[in-house]
Amino acid sequence: MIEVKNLRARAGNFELRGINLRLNRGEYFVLVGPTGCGKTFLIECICGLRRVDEGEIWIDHRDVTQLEPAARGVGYVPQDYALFPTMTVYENIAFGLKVRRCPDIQERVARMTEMLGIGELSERYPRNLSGGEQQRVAVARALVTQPDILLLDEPLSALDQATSESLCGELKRIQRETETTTIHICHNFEEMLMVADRAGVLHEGRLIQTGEAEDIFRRPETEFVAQFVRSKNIFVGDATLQDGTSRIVFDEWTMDTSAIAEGRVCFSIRPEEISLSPAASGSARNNRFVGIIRHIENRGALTEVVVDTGVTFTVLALRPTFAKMGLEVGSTVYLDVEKDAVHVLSGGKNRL
Amino acid sequence: MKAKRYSNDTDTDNNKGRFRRRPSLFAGFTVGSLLLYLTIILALLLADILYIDPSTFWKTLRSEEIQFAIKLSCVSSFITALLALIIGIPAGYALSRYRFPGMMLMDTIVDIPIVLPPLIMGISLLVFFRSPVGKAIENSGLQFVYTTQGIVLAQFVVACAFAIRTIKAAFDSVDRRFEDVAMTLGCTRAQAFLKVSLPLARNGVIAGGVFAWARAIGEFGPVMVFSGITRFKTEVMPTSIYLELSVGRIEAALSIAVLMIVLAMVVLILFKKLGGAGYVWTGR
Repeated sequence: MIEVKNLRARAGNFELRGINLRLNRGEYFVLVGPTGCGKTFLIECICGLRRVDEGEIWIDHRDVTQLEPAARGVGYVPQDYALFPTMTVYENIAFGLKVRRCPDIQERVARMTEMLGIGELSERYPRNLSGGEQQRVAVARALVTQPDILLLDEPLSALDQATSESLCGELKRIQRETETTTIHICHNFEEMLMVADRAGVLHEGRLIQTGEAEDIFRRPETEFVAQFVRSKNIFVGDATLQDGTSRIVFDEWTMDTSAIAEGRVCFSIRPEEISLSPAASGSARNNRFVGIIRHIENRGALTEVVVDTGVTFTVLALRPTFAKMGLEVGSTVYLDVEKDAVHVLSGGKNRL
Repeated sequence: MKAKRYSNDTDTDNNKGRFRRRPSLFAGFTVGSLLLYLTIILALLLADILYIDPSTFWKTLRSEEIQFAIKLSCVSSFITALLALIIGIPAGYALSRYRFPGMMLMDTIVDIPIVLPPLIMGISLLVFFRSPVGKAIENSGLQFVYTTQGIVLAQFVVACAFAIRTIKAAFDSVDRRFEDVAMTLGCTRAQAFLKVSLPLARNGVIAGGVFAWARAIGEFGPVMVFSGITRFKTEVMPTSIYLELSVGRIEAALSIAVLMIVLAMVVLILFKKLGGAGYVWTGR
């Protein structure tokens, strides 16, 4: 378990401004945010590698704010893994146990390498390992001392996508097996969705939203989070409440939503939740728009379509589905948006 | 023996597989420059060697006073290099790792003995030991002026700056992350330094020691001014050369010079074997 209370710290002209965070025992927490938002800095504060100006850090009911890194019970995997180049894989993993004069070093290292499937690498030096192997060794080195909390700083960003995806599942499995409370930093929400129990979004030194990973993805509270999870259709309008549904008027258009909202609101619609067709179809109860395709972009499995209906909508469709419609730039299309898909940003209202 | 490389860069490995182009004008120019310089140095060495005949060479080196100077040079420069490492390793580390006010100034002060003509350090030492503080030190029983320990001091003030510079550069190239991780794994700062950073900076530290030794054994100005040249007391090889030269025995002077060249070559080659190769020869 870890609790961060009103943490303030400063490095150069960067600042963490009052971070409050609480993780339950055995939880996998993902901290996301764009580059330079202070994710690494926050982790370094928790490790005890940075001085904290204000606030407290508690790990397993101990106030560790003033403790040396060695006394905190943290396992740290930095972004570049920082495997000790002068030591073999075995020596790297055994390092923490040797320093702490633990008994049964060989056994514990063997158990850890077996769990991570790196047993045959023992005698190799880090420079002769692939990125994925280095990452496993770094995780093993951090976990072998049985820390109360595991801190992973962008553990997958240095790897190619295929390796990164398979290790993603691996990390989650190991975390479940060892039941180690984990904070995992990353800058993409797909990685967050794959591993997180809960997640938090850090922006300019502030934790602006925490919750279930799915909630952050589907129900962003602020415009920044909405943009970060690439919910590309974000609009501002005036809502009025009628018979349990809200009608939002934005410019000359209206959008009905099943969310309860009144007054000036910011709302977002995920691009994959807008359906697109060459002719009018779907339920008349949905929001419907007619527009012209301005731009089509291949995104691999998906096709991104930008439609101008007077306002600009971005739509994601499965590539083969879209291809069958035979649409191209300049074609007229109908957009359908279910009321449930229109998400009103709770934090957005406060900001406007 | 091939030096062990701990860095992750694979430059040299990549070079092996690279497409070999035919020699370019540019390659010719760079190698030509190198050869030009080598030719100059070799010509000078050859001139030295040809000037002396073997019998004078052996006779000079066998004379008792020169034997004494050789021994004193070796012992004093070794002690100096050791002292320079004892101070230079922690000092270089501090200069590399910590940021505190006045850092710029401290960094510049370390450079002073490197930039100034060494003679000035000798004169400064002499003047210092004429001051009340200096006299107090002398009277406390620690004699430096015109003594053998004075030789070590005169060598040290200059050589240590070279050791600190080189060792600082070595620690600069060691990522702090290694120490950070070591500390989360249970090390104190001192343990992280000893177990992780120092082994990583090994080549640079050895280079620092070798540079300090090279400065020390070749030191002339400060030693002459501060310790004088007394036969069988404070005479070291560079001052012997000066002494022989001043009485017109050029062949004897050159004999000692050739011995110093041989000694320098032996130490540098040993250093290369020890694993310092990557440091000096690839500019890391």
